[in-house]
Amino acid sequence: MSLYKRIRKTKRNSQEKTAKEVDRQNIQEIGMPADSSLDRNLDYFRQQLEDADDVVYREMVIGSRHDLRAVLMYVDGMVDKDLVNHQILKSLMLDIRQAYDSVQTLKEDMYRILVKCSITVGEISETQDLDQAILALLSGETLFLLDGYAVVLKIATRGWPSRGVEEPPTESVIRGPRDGFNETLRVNTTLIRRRIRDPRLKIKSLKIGQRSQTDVVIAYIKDVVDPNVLNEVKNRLKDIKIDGIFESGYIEQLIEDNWLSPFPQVQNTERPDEAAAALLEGRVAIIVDNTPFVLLVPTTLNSLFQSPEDYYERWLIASAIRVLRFIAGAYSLILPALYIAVTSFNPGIIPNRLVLSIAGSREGVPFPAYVEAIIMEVSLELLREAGVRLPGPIGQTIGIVGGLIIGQAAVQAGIVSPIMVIVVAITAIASFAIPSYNVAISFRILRFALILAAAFLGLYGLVLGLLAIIVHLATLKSFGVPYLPSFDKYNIKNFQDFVIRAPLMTMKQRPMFLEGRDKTRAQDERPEEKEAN
Amino acid sequence: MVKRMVLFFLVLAAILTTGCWDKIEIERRAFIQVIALDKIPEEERTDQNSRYVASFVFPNTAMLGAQGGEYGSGGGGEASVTISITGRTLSQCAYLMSTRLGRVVYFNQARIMLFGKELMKDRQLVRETVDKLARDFRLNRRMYVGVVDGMARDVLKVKPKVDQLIVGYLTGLFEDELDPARVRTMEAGEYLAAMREGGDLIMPKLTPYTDEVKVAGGAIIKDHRLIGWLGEQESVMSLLLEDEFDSGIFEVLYKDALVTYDVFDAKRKIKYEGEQNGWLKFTISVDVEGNLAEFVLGEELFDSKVIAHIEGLINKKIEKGTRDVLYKYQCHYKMDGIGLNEFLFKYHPRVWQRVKNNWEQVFCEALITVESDAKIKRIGMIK
Repeated sequence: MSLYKRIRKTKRNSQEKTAKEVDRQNIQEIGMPADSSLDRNLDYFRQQLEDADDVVYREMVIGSRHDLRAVLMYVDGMVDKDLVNHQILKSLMLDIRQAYDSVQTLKEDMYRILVKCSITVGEISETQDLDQAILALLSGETLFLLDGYAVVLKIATRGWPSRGVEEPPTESVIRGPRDGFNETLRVNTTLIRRRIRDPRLKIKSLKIGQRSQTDVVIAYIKDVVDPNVLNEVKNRLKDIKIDGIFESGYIEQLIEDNWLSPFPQVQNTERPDEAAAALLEGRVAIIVDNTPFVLLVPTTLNSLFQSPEDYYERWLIASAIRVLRFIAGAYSLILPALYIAVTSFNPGIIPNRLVLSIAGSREGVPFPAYVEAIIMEVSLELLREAGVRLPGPIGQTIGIVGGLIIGQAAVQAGIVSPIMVIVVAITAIASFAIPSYNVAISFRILRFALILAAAFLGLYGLVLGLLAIIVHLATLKSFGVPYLPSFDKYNIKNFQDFVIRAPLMTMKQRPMFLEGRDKTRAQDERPEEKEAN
Repeated sequence: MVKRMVLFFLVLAAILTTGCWDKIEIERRAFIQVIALDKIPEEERTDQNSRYVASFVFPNTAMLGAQGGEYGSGGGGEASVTISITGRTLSQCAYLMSTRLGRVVYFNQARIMLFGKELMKDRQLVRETVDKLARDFRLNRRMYVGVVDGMARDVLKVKPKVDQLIVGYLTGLFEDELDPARVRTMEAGEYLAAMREGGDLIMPKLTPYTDEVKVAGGAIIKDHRLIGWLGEQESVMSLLLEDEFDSGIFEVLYKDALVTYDVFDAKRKIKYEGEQNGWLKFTISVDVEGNLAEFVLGEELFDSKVIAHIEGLINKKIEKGTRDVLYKYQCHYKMDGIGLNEFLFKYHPRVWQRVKNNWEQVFCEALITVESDAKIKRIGMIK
């Protein structure tokens, strides 16, 4: 059976399964109804949370006559202890007695009074479903159960140790805000909300993962987003069936269009400014709890070559840097392959003097050029990978040792030619100049493929390989949007934000490839122009 | 399923079996840089059939690697290697070369092709070499061609004073833009075009000495055959007439002292003036601009009359020189070395239609006047 058919079949299977799952979930959603007896509810909780020793049951009696039993439940470490101690326990056990002498007489209304008058916490909600209550408990909320009432009160007391808002290490900029997303979902949505104070900014949450029940948020701006894309995102997220989501990478891999493609079809960022800018372009952000990496869809190859800094610097500088980046992309993709093709197959196109120095430097090297290139590229990747895993100080040592071995010793030993060292070094530097780590890696993989193509067929093979890559890119789509959108409609506007970044006052429209309703970004002409008119 | 497998293996075979044999590591190639072709001298002829001596120069890359720094396997010897092969045809020479060398002979990087005097005198051999040059895609159309006064291979024996490689020396001679105009350059492409269009042309002339090569003068080729030479001064004048003159020096005698005139720009214009007594009449005006480079101490040149006088002397010199060259062309070699045929073809096609069939005679009888207009732009620093 062909691979394609198999994929289609599994897709169909998963769709059938989805229908069943939905039914099961509907049954589950009804869950276990709360009982009016506190003991019975507690029994259910204890049975469900058996051996979960981090769950704290705080039993107490309230009211001045101590005749009203109540239980406060929370997971130790996931709640804000201050809040629980001072705003809940203290209110319930001490303050309420001073304030309401007549509570005893209002026993029927006890619950209402407690809820409305004594719990001094911002966000509370009720549920009659014990299973839902357990989910809330495990999400860090505090449960309050009162004897005689078939309802569970969920008090938002989430609070756990979390990293502060720090500068993202993977996407640092010279000019631009220094804050970055962290592992707490709420902090992340806040960072976006602070940048776009628009009521039309929607932050829809859902839970993914049967066991992990991870909070996932879809953020978009209602009248800017392309409705097709939004629907597609929602549908794909809904279809995810997995036990746990620990990083947005899970979601990325589960919702991407083509999982065989080497190119990332979902952009990720640690920078709230970049996420907010993407929202204003009409894209959708997917924020996942427990990870600072926010996904942005749809993604184009173009957006992976951009840095938020491009928009903060003046356009000439930004354009120059972007041109440099595209050159870096081209280098990191084809330089070693080009070197092999040209030296081993078509030396006629090298300038006369360069031919001599290349030939001279290769004199005595025992390997053919492509073996040399593969040796060098692999050792470079080894160095890089080793450096990533090692703690800082040791990582530097590896860099020095590796640099010496590769740069000096290998050449002196006559195993590689000095020109190959230069080629590999330039390629490595170029590949680190690409702002997106994931696209840089895919370029690296393709570089090896092109090296092999060039080793087999020379320049012809290199061009063949590049053509294959371009054909693939042209067919690739991210959430229904072409991966190379700039080229599918001949419009100068499509090129304003591509290799060059046009001046801001000329970029008055949102990207054409997204079809949201509100297309206009900016209208005003510059004041001088107005005066001139 | 079976179809797919077959397709897969076909594609695999296409990928795996194509091109690999084209892969030759760069250090395994012999990059031919200079090609020198000679007619085989009688005394060297061992085989009755051999007609050519082809000499090839390629660099000793091992030695260059050693020179390139502390790396490389090193290796001694000369920087470039010269190999001479005798053969019946040029193709045979190239083939014999690769069988003897142990390296893959590579012609794409050839920069210079030289022809010996004897070869250029043999019309048959010239036409063969031109055909080979045109037919062989490996030969670069941008390489320089020249005629050697003597054996072409003698140029390869020259040990340049500064350059390590003979090719660097020779291309330096041809390429240097600031060289005096007596250096004529011609690329293989121009050579082929001129040879195809009748075979009348003037080629650069090279003269080998023990440690240097002189590129000066010109070789007059008529009907695919070397028929004579232009001297250095004549070559300068002929370049002026061909509008190929870029810079150079003229000396005139004024007040018993030599005045040096350093030309930095020259333009030539041809004008067709109609017929006179059945003879075509042309005026060639030459506008020359230059600086006064040398005179004697104490002579200041602020007087415009003096400057006009010197300019007049220069004009006279240019007019006389060009007249001499024209005389040689018209009366001696009967060869249109100025490109009047091209001028007529382009600007006076009706006239050209009438005269083209007996152009040689028409050219020789044409009345050609040269008007020179030299300007002294700067007289240099004084005090």
